[in-house]
Amino acid sequence: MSPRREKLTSPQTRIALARGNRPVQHLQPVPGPVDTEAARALFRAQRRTAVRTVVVLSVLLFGLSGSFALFPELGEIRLAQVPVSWLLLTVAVYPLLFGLALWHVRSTERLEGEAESVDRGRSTARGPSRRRVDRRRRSKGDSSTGGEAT
Amino acid sequence: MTWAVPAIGLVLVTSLIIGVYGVRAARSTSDFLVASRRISPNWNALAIAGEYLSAASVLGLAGLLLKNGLGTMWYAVGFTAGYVAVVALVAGPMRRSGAFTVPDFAEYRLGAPRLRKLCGFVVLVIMLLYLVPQFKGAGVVLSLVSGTPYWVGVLLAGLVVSGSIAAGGMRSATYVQAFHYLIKLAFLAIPAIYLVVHAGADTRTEALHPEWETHFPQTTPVEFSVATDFTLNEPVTVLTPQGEELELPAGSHSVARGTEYVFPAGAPIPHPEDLPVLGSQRWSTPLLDVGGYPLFETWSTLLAITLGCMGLPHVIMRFHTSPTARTARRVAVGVIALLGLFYLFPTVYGLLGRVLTPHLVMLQGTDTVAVVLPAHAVPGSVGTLLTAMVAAGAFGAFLSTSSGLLLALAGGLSHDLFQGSVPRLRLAVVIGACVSVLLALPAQMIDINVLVVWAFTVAASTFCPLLVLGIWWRRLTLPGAATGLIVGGVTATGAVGWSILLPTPSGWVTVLLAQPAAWTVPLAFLTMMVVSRFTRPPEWAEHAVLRLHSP
Amino acid sequence: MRQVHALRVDLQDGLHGRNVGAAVRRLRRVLAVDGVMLADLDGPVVAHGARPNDEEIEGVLFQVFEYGGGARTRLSDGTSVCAVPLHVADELAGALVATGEPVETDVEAAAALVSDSLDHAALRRARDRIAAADLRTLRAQISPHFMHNSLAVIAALVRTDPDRARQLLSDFADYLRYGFSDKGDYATVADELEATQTYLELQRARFHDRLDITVRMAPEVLPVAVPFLVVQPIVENAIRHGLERKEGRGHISVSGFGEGPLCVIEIEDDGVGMHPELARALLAGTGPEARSVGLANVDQRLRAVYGPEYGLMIETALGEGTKVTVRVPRFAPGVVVR
Repeated sequence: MSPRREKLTSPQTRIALARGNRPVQHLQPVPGPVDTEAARALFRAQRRTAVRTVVVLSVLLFGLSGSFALFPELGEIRLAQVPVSWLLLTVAVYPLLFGLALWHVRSTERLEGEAESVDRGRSTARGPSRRRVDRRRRSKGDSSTGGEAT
Repeated sequence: MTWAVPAIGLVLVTSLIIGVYGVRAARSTSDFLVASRRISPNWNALAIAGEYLSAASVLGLAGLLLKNGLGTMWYAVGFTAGYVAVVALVAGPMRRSGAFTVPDFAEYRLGAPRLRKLCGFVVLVIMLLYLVPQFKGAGVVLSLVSGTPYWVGVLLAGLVVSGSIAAGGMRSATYVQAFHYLIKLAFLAIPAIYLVVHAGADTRTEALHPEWETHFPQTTPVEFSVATDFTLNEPVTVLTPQGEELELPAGSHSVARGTEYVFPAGAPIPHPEDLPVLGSQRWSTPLLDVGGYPLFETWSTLLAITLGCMGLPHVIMRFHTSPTARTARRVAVGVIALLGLFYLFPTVYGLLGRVLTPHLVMLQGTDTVAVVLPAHAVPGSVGTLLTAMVAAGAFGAFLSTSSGLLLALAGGLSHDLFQGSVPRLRLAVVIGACVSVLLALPAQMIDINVLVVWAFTVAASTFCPLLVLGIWWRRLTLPGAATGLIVGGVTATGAVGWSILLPTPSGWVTVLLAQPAAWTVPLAFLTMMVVSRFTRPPEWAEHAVLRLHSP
Repeated sequence: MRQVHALRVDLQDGLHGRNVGAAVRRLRRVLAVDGVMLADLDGPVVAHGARPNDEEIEGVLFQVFEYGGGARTRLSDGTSVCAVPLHVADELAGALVATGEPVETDVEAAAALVSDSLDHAALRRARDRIAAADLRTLRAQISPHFMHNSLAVIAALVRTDPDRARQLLSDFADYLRYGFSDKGDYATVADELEATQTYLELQRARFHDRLDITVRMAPEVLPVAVPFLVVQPIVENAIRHGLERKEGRGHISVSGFGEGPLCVIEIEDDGVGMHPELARALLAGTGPEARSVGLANVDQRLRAVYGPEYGLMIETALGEGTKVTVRVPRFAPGVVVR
C-alpha cells in the first residue's frame, strides 16, 4: 500500500466511525413461508426426527456408562487381551455415533426432499413463484395500516 | 528435546504462510471462477475438527487418563457426541437463519438487539474458561521443550497467537485449521503407533493389565515442582541429590517444593492422596470417579460436554461457512468421523504412560505425558524426533483453537459488548490474549480437561437452551430467553467459580459444584420455558421458526 | 411531558403496532377515567379498563364516524362516555373512547395527541417505503457505457475470431441475466464474484489482455449475503477511471476475508488513482453526475442496508492507484439470499 494514499469515506461513515458505537438497527421483517400449513407439517416432522436422534443418543451414552456401573464383569472379559469395557469406550462407540448422525441426516434430507417436491408441484400449478417475491418485499409496517397495495 | 523448538517453529511459519496467502491465489479470469466456487465440505470438516481439537484433546486426555483412569475417555466420547447433537438440533437451522454468532441468532429469532450485550457477556465467560487451559497447555509444552519456566511459556504463547492474528494469519482460517487437523492427527498418531510397536510385548501386556502393580521401570530422578502429599505402601530407599541414601517408611509423606529424590528401579510408585491408585479397580473401571459418585459424575460430564458443544461460540460460527443447511449438516457428520479417528490415539499415551512414566502422577504434571513419554520409551534420536512431533502437534492444537477462540472472543467484545466499530477488533484480540495469559499463570496445577469441561458446562447451561428452544419451540420469548440465560449463566459460573476458588464441603455438595451440568442445564431450560409461558411471543415468531426448517 | 413522549413511543408502530396496549393503559392513567378504548374504522382495536357492551360501543362509534365530531352519551347504567374522532393525514382514521367521568377537553387534547402520533407513525412508514423503493431503484445500474463497449468489442471480433466472439456474447448474456434478475436485493459473495468474472472477461477482450488479475478469497466469506451488484461496480470503476487511462499493463486484485464478525472485500488497482478531493466529493454525493453511478451508488446502498458506519472506504491519491474496501457484517437481520 502506498503511503501517499489518503483514506476517505462518506461524511456519514466518518461520523459514525468516530462516534464508535452503533445505533440500534431497525429490524427488517422475517419473510413468511409460502404455505404455512405445509411448513408446519415439515417442522413437526423434523422435530420428530430430532427427538428420535436425541433419544437414541441418550440411550447410547447413558446406557453404555450405566452398563459399566452395573456389570463390572465387562472389565474382566478380554478380547485380544483388551478388556471389553475399554474397547467399547475407546473404539466401538465412535462408529456408532457416526452411524447415528448419518441416519439423522438421511432422514431429514428425505423429509426436506419430499417437502420440496410437493412445493415444486404446487408452485408450477400456481404459476411462477412471483408471490414469494412480493411477500418478501412487504415491509413490516404494512400490516398495521392498509398500507400499499401489494 | 532439541528438535522440538524447530518443529514448533516450522508449524508456526507454515500456518502463517497459509493463513496470510491462502491456497488459492488466482491469476487469470478463469481462476476467478475457481476462487468463487464454494469450498468443498471436506475442507470445511477438516477445518472444524482442526479448530475443535484443542490442547484438551491432544494433551489433556492422555494426562487425565494416566491420573484418573480409563473413565477419562468419556470426555472424548462427549466431545464427539456433541457433534451428533449439533447435527440433530442446530447445524441446519442455524445455517438457514444466516446468523454468524449466537447473538446474531438471538437477534434473528427474538428480534432483540438488546439481548446482544447479555449474549456477548456469556461469550466472554465461555471463551475465557476455554482459553485459559489452551494457554496452560501451550505454556507447559513450550517450557518443557525450551527448558524455560512455565510463565515464560505462557507469555510466549500469548505473544505468538496474538501476533499471528495481527499479521493476518487467520485470513484464510479454513485452510490453516484444516492444516492443523492433519498436523495433530499425524503427529499424535505416528508416535502412538511407533510406541505401541516398539514397546514390546511385556510393556503392552502390562499396559492392558492395570491390576498389576505399578512401579518405576528404571532408576528415576524425580524433582517435585510443587509441595506434594503422597502415600507409600512399603518402605523405599531413595537417593538424595547429595548421594545419601534415605529410607522412606511406609505411610504418608509430605515433601516440600523443590525436593529431589532418585527412586530405584522396581520401587512401587508413591501415589498422591485423593487420587485413585494407579491401576486399581477404581482406575480401570471406565467411569469418571473423582468425588466418589461415578455414575453421577459420568452422566453430568456427558451432559455438559454433549450439550455444551452446540453452545460453543466458535463451533456455531463455522456453520456459516457452508453454503446451505444441507451441507452444514453433512459437514458436521464428517467432523464426527474425523474426531472419532483422532480419539483412538490419546488412550495409547495414557495406558503406556502408566507403565513407563508413572511418576508424572506424583509430580502433578500428567498433562505433559504425551510429550514426555516418547523420549522415555524410545531412547536416542528417534525418541527425540517423536517428542518433537508430539510437541509440534500439541502446539498446532493450541494455535488453531486459541486463534479461533480469541477471534470469537474479540468479535463478541467489539461487536456485541461494546458495540464498537471496525478497528477495535485487533485491540480486542490483544485484550483477550492478555487476560487469558494472566489467568493462565496461576492455573498450572489445574488439569486442562477440568477447565475445558467447565467452559462446556457454561455453554450447555446458557446458549444450548437458547438455541434448542429458539429453533424447536415457537413459544420462546425475549424475557424467557434473557432470564434463562442469566439463571443458567450465574448458576453454572457460580458453581464452577466456587469449586475453583473456595474450599468446598465434602460429599455430594462437592460433586454438585464440580459437575454442575446435571442441575444447571435443566434449570436453565425450565426457566426459559416457564418465563416464556407467562409472556407473549411476537406474532412473527412462528414464521421465524418455520423458516429455519424449510428447505 | 414524559407521558406525552412515552405515548409517542408506544404509538410509533401505528394503531396496530406492538405497544398500543401500553398506550391505552397510559391514556387511562393520564385521563383518570374508568376505561379507554382505541378504535379504527372497523371497530374497537384495543381497550383497557371498563368498557361498555358491544352494542353501545357500536352506537357511539357510529355517531362519531357519521357526524365527524365528538360525541358524549350516558349509558344505560349511568356512566358517561366520551368519544372523539382521530384524524391521520387529515382523514378520519378512528376514535378514542373514554368511559367514566371524562373531562371533555382533556379527551379532545388526548385525541389530538394520539392523532399526531399516528400521523407520525404513518410518515415513518412512508419514509421506510421510500427508502426501500430507493434501494430498488439504486439497485441494478449496469452502466450503458459498459454495454456499448462490450457490444462494440464483440462486433469487432465477429469476423476475426468468431469463437471468442461467441464466448464473449454468452458471457455478456450471463452478465445481463445476473444484472437484471429479480431474485432479490441480495446475493452471495460467490455470486458477486462470478458476475465480476464475466465482466472482467469482456473487459480483457477490450484491453487486448493487458490486464492482470489476482483473486484471493477466503472460503469463509463466499456464502455471506451482500447487497446485489456491489463488487462489479467497484471493479468497473477501477478499470474505467484507474486502468483505462494508464499506459502499459494494469493490475487489479480482489481479495476477501473474514475479520471477526465482519466480511471484508478489497479491490485494489495500480492505475492512475484519483484526486482525494474528487473521491471525497463522490462519497459525499456532491461529485460530478457522470461518476456518481458507480462508487457513490454502492456506498449509498451499503449505508442504507447496514447503517452509516459500513460505507465504502477509499484509499487513493493521484498516480498512486486506488484501493476500495467493502466491510460489512456477516449477518444482518433481513439480509438473506433467496
